[in-house]
Amino acid sequence: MPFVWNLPFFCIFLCMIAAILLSLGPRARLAWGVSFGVAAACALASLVFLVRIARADTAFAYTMGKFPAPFGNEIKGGPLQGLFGFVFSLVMCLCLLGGRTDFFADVDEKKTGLACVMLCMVLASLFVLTYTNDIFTAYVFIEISTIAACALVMAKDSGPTLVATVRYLFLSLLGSGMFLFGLVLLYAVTGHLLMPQLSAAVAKLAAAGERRGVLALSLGLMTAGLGVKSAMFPFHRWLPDAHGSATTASSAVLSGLVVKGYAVLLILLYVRVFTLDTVRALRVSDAVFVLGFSGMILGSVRAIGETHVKRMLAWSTVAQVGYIFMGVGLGTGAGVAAACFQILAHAFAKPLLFVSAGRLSAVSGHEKQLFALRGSARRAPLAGLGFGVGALSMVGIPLFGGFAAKAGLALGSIPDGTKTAVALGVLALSSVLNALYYLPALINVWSGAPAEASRPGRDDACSAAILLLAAGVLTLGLRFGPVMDLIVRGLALV
Amino acid sequence: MSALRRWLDGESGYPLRAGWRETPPKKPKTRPARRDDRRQLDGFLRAYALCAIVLCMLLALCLILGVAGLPPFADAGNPTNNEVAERYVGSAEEETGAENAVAGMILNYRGFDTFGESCVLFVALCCVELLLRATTPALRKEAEACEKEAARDAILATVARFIVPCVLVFGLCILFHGHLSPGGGFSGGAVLGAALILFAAAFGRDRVRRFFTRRVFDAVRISGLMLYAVMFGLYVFLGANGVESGLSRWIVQIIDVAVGLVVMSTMYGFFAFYTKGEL
Amino acid sequence: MLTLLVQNRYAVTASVLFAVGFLHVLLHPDLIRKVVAFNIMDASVFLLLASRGTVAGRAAAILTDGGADPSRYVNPIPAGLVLTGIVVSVSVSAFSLALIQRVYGVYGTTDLRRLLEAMKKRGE
Repeated sequence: MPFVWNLPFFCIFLCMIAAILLSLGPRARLAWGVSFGVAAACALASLVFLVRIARADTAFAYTMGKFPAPFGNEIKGGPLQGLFGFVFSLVMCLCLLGGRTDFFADVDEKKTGLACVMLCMVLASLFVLTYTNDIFTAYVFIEISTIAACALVMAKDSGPTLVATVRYLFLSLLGSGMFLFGLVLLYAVTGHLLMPQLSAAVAKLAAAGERRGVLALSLGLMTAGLGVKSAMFPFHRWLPDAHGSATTASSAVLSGLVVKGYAVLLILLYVRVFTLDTVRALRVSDAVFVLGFSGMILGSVRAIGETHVKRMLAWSTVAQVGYIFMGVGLGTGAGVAAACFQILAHAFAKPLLFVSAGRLSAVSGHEKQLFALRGSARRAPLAGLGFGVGALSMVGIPLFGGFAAKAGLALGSIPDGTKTAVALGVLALSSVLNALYYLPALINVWSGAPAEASRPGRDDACSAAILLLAAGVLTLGLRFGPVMDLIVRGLALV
Repeated sequence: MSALRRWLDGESGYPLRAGWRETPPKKPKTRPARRDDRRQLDGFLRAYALCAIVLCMLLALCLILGVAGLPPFADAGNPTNNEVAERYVGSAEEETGAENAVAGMILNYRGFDTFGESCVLFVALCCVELLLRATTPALRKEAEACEKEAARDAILATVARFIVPCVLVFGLCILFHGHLSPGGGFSGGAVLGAALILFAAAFGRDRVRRFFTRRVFDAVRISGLMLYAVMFGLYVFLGANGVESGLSRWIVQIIDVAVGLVVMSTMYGFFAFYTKGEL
Repeated sequence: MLTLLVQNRYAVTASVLFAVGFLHVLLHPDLIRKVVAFNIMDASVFLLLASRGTVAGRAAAILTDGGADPSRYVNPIPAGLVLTGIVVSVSVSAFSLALIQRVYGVYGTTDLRRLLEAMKKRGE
């Protein structure tokens, strides 16, 4: 086995060991530096891994211990996992960079170490959710991710964030309960927990037409459980409060990454364990499709009515997650590939928006209301540009990542005759709705009085993060073909 | 259109939000109509309750219909009693050195899950510390308002004097014998933690603090978890790369003790942060 | 149908308990009760798991004979999963209770409705 194949395992353990050591309570700057370094190292390692695995064009199972599947835990690496791992760790790194100033301002100095523990744990669980080949490992790391994400929300210690955390945690726990119930049902009818064996057993049951009810129930419960956690439409109420009230870095990480981790796991379940044909036959994909496009519309409608910039971005996350679920709900390879691309595009664009909005609000006296941000882009042009790139990507203007994702979704919906009309109509409508709140917000930050008496200080870390995130959005928009090709190859090997 | 132009010129509020408002709102209006508000809330709550009940009925129905299709209860021919279960029972002692097949399974075969599980405990303790550790005067006041230390209880102290040593011995027994009989790191650690909590409740936190200071607490907890992480990391690295190491036979015992330490300190940590916001 | 339900009586009980816990989480205004309801939900899943791990006439998986005869013992996997589930459940309960303690410290109530009123009063 080539040595490079060890890298996913190294990334996971590096994050976890760093988290354990960070709980010793180092000074705030050191703690931040360590977690930034860990994220950067993981990004680098993931990049090397991605390049090598894409060139080798293969997938491999990595035994976590001495005993291979079906006896011991396993992780599985392939081009798709490598891509997700790289993007997740890179974006985590950039979120930390971009939210640095706010992070130190919002989090109690003595507790920064603990908040950094949570950041490392979130990264570790994102890696595991991407790479895992064992469904029970996935459950355990879903829990880690949930607890750590809640902790990130309340790291900024104030009354409203506490209440937002309570709502987030309680809904997430409902989701965990449903996921675990579904998992137990699946285990009861197949007798396996490792995905390859599960997949074989499910295929056997589906071919024989046995235990359809249990399979459908288990798939539905797991989908609902993961859906609650990633803010699928009827379970989205917790998201705006939680993401809107946290500190900049937390909001960016939560909106850009944490929500995606569960979606990636859901895709893994659909493609690797149940296979898309079975999912379609059990009619679960249709339900996901409907919920997905409802979320797209509703999230955008609510975002239009929002005057608090971070809450507006949070509502937009609900809509963007809807795109992912719509893609998955198409139940075809092309739809899932487009959903994967949307995960990547949104993972760059939303942190970019949050980081830019954080900077814009920092130069406007830390006001978060949109009318207070009037003209703020003149005071911080780079943040204004970043906000522009993110907003245009969300609206779906060509050149930017969001356009490519929408195009992929539209193309993916064409083979399925019944869903084409709905999907295309909803995509068009949601693009218009996105434009209705992003463009005014964009014009708002660029118009009005240019300079204020108080010149804000420079924030180089934030500028670097904005530049890199914007570069990511543009890369995805301009190099759509190769990335999509990699995703399709990865999905075939998943 | 004129509203849009006025807005672009910076003369009016934000279009499309709150009904093309002319001026930006300064503060939400003071609300005289409280009764109306409350009635609305009541209506909403009633509708919400109805929806919730219907939803849960549906959920229960789906679950019951679903589980009726499960393989029959307690049947030896169920799909769960397959080659995996047989391997865990048949080869556990030989491959992991644990007579307790459950301990062998969770600490060796599926050790990564269990490492994650220990990390869940660890993360939870960090969260509790993040929330409750009284670092500022305001938080300290809050913690004191939530918790008043009860007066020392003579009965509790007398009983605890007899019970605590027994519980400790029992906990250690479960902990160190976990791979051979029912028990193991998690249960043993929980019992030890309970002994510490009982001791603290009976004789006061200061007595505990004499030997279980913050530094000891961190050392125990973090060295336990690091021991687990490093041992298991090594085991995985060697195992996945096909190097024969012989770790497999005794890793269960070591990890069991490490887990026990982690669980013990976590349980006590929960108690300590709940009551005083400090260890 | 009835025979099926009786055959899987533990699983049916678990389903009912799960739904009861779910309903309480959604309906009860008191946050601490909600945590209790979560524990009911978790317990119902453990019941389901434990019932899947039972085999009539077999002993717990403590290998007194070194595992020479695997058909004497039950499957150890459900027991291990229940153990993991319990640890997770303890952790999230501890976290939720700590959170509620803080909410109580800030707003002076654990009742969701009064909490929302208190938030409104403060203009949050």
